[in-house]
Amino acid sequence: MKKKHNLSYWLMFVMMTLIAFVSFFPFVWMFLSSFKPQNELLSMPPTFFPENFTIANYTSVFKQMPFGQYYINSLVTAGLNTLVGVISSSLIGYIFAKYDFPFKNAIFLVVLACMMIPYETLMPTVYKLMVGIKWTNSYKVLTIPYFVNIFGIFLMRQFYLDLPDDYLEAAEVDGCSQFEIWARIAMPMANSTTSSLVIFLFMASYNSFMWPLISVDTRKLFTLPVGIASMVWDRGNQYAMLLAAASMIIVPVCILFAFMQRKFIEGMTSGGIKG
Amino acid sequence: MDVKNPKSPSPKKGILRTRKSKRMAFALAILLPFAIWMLVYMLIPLASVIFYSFTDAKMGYDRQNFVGLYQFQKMFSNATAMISIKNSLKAALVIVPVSLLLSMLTALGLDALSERSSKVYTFAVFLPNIISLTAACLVWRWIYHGQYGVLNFLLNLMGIPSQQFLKSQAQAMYSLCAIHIWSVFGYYAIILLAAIRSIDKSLYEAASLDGASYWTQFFHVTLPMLKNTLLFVGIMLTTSAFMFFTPVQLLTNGTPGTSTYVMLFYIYQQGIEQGNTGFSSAMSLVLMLIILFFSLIQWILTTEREPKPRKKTAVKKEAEAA
Repeated sequence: MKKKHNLSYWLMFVMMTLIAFVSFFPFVWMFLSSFKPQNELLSMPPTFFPENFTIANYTSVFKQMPFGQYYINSLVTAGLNTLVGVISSSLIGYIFAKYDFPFKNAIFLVVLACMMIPYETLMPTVYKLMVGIKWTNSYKVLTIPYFVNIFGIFLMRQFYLDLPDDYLEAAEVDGCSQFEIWARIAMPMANSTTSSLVIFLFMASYNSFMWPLISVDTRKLFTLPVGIASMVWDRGNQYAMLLAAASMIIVPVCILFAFMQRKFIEGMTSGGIKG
Repeated sequence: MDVKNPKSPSPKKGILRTRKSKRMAFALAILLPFAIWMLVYMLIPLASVIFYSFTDAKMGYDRQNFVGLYQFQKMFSNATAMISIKNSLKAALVIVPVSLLLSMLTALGLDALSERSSKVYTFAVFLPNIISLTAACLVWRWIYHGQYGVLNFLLNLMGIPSQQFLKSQAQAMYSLCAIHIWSVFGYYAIILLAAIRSIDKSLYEAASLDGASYWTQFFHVTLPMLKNTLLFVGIMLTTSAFMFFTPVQLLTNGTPGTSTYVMLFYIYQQGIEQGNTGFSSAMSLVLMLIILFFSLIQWILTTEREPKPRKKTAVKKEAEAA
């Protein structure tokens, strides 16, 4: 669009390069450092590329802790939370957009108001409640709190509000049940919004730290963030191994993001742009 | 979620015959589990935070006594609690303006660059927002290392002596804030960029016909047009600054001294580790009120000058919400 490469363009370019460098450098440094043996890591001046390339850090991550188990826990809970979260957001949003029931607007206002509450402040009381019904230290406590996402409901409702009723009525006349109308007509039309929500919910669950930290204290149930946190507290000075563990959590996400950049940004900012 | 329920009653038999009652039954089948979830994970915890803050509730005990304002008195006479409130305010005072400025600059930069380089730079600045902050903190811990950290190496190259960063009373809080800013600014830059790109181009054409320079255009066209987005970003940033937790919990645990105690960290320590639900609830309540207060201030500050458009947007928003 703007092809005039004048002085201010180059100033902008230099500034952006600097900002992007600061943003991206930690990842480069993490990845490179994770292949250095600990004694090369603890040397001044630091080497940029690993001089004694080793993958020992990666193997010791798996030797020193049940990292595979953490990985499975994270992927399984994030996968399940995303699946249920997307379906529930879509269904509830659909109901709020297309159905009439008593006190609908009042109820929706309450739901919206709940979106404003910083959820972290409620976590101790949620935890007390979970202790009360003996749900802590189980997969239940890592999944069910994520099954409903108010922001997701809001996003899907917004989409369904714009969807013309004609399609749905036609399906109803053809004898579709209410559930089928949603599953066969409404849901497929929301594909683009739904896929944004999938990314949003998956990342929210995969990266969540505070709730799993609070609610689970057996190693068997640790998710990746809690797992590496416990590693920092137990073996804080094994920097090389910690960086290898961090790489294994971050690099897959980096690669996914590189291939699906636009979809990721759409998903992560869908709250921001609509708000 | 039991989504198949409405299907199971046969449509030919039973009471669910008319279209309206079918719709009602379906809505109810979806809303009922939703209502239960809302109760358990939202409304009861919210009511409990308010209720417990006036009691001496403890983790693991079912009974509690009403103690009036005791927990609040205790909080305001407790040195650590006051320090954590002060530190949270300090963190917000650093995080909000710096992130706002940085994301604004980044948004302007991305807007000015050609499409291809903009895409590469977007990747770089947005990445910290996507990856797990917990994992990123491990890298920062290594970068900040007092003896072998690459940051100290770079400082030494510039002739500045090594710093202690996370181990120094004076620097620890700012070092943690820097991690937070690093992880969020790209997100807000993208939101601002979308808003900048949606500004009507004819406004700029008119301005440049009048001979307005880039910065004049920025202050007289871009900035006023971004008002609502900036308000939104400001509120989100303020909330996120008060929800500052992961780096503290992971990297400093409140140390050195009490220099990195922040409110959420102290709530976690009191409510979960010590089990003082009453006290932590009182603190949660104060935290919520602080966030509400700052959101209101920002809202008033950004809307007071032009009363007319505010009315319009308020009405519009209500219409959208309804």
